[in-house]
Amino acid sequence: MRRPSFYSPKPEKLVGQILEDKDPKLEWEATLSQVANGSEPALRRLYAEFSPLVYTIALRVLNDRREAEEITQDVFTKVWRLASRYDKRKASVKSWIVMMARSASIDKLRKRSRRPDTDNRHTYDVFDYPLQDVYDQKSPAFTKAAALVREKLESLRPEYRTCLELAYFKGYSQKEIAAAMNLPEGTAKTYVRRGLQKLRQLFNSA
Amino acid sequence: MNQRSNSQVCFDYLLDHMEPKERKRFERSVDEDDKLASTLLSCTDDLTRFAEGSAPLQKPSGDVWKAISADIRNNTIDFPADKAHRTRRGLPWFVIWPAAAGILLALNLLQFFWPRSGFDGPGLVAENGVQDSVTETLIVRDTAVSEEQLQTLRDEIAVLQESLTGLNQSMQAKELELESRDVRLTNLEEEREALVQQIDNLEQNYLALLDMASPVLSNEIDSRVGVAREYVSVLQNDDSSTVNGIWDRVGELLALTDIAVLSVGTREGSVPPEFGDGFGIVGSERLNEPETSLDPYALAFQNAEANQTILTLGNLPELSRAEEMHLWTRDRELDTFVSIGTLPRELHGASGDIAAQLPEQTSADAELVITVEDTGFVGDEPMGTVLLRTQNPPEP
Repeated sequence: MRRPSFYSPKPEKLVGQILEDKDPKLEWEATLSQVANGSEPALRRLYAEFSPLVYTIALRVLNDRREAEEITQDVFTKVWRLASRYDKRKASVKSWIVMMARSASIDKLRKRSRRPDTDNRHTYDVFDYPLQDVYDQKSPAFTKAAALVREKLESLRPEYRTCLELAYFKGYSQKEIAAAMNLPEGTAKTYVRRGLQKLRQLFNSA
Repeated sequence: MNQRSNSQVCFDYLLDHMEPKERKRFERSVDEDDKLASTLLSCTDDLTRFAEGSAPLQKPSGDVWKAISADIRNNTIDFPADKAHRTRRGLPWFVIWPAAAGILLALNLLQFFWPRSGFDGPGLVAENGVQDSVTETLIVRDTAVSEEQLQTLRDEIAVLQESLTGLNQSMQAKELELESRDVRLTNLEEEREALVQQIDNLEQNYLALLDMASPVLSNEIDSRVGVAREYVSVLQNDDSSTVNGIWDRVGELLALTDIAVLSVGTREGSVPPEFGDGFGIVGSERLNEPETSLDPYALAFQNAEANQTILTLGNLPELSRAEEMHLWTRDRELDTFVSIGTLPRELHGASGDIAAQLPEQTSADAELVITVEDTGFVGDEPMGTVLLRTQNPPEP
């Protein structure tokens, strides 16, 4: 299979490290290209960096540790298998892995329950965890990034946040979000749109 | 997409708030539009940050990495598509059978370049014979692989075909049940679960092929598997409207078999050196979208180097002796036709592949048209009914 253009000769440096003078995105792209070449240590570096995020997303979607671990395993075996097909035009390495995690988790959720659980549905609050938990990470750069993001998200209106949570972590359609939040469909749609617009503003102003 | 901003469209795509057909259109647009791709990248990062900030990060247990590592070392998961990682210890089926299929397809495609006296048209250079089934095509010329490898290949293809047949039958059963209205979809959870599993299996079966196929065809297969998954998602909502599109999906999946098999033939490295790199195939296009699994369909693969089109044709109609199928190119700009030739009678009521030598003056965006004409028809433009034709190019 033809390699995307970024598969240049391997860098000499250990690319798993986040260094201030290096663009992390490029570093991870290089790491992924090593994975595509069959490097298990490179996969290990990706795993060390991104497995907490993958596991956390799966846990958030499925609320089951065993299943979340299964998803984590599946995602990284997919990374191993599909590394050569990564397209840097469409997503960063991190986002590519995260989207795989979300997609696999929601697939599993849908298999587990064929229809949305409207009877037992509850609203989700993104901030129902103590903030210090975010700092419980070994990688300072990663922790700092997560904390900054969290800080920004606090300025989102709660109803926007909930809509985005349901869409992202539960895979709900706009119709299902409306039903879950007891809102007219048009209102739910507006909340999702505004929430996403706000999200872009928040991160673009970073 | 006109009334929505690019970022809204990207978010709709990322959050699965798009219909399957809209998803396909969007994916095509992203491939062609760097600005849209850039917006998609940015929106994807926004959602990643959202996910990152929405819950405290937790670590999986150490057993997870151990399991991944063990899988890799024991070869129980697929390898990356790279020689560096391949092992010499016992090649598993997903290495053997794509390789064997590649060799056999290369041999099959070799036939394209041999002039055949039985070919009626002046421009057609060869045909590879009729394929009544994928299996027959692949095993018909065994010169390079062992009997054991061939058996593995036959078995895997049989499994694949069973999956498709089983899926088709399940769909038929479901449609009958819907028609009767006596059985609500909510009572069919097990069946839906089985369908989802079948799609998963199907996807797994193709993964080895995807890794070996050319990028263009990989995307084609990926897109079709994606469509199939979308339909399964739709099916999971208990709504009588879910029957819509089911037959499209079955048609897509059946067509997928031929694409996957052909794509193996374009794998780099599997083609004899005298034919160059992947036969010079630079793109593919559909001549139609089959509405049911029984409809005729055609896919054209352009070989720019040889100025050829390789057509994989399916479900062609059975015609009387008084009729035959003609292949034409049509210049979209000048609205003029050039006759390429007559399809061999072995393809009547059957499926198969042919390679057609195009006239030198054929423009890059010329349309391919297959018509049904009276036997012996000679003319500058088609007079009969159009059976298949290249779809309109996507809107910019």
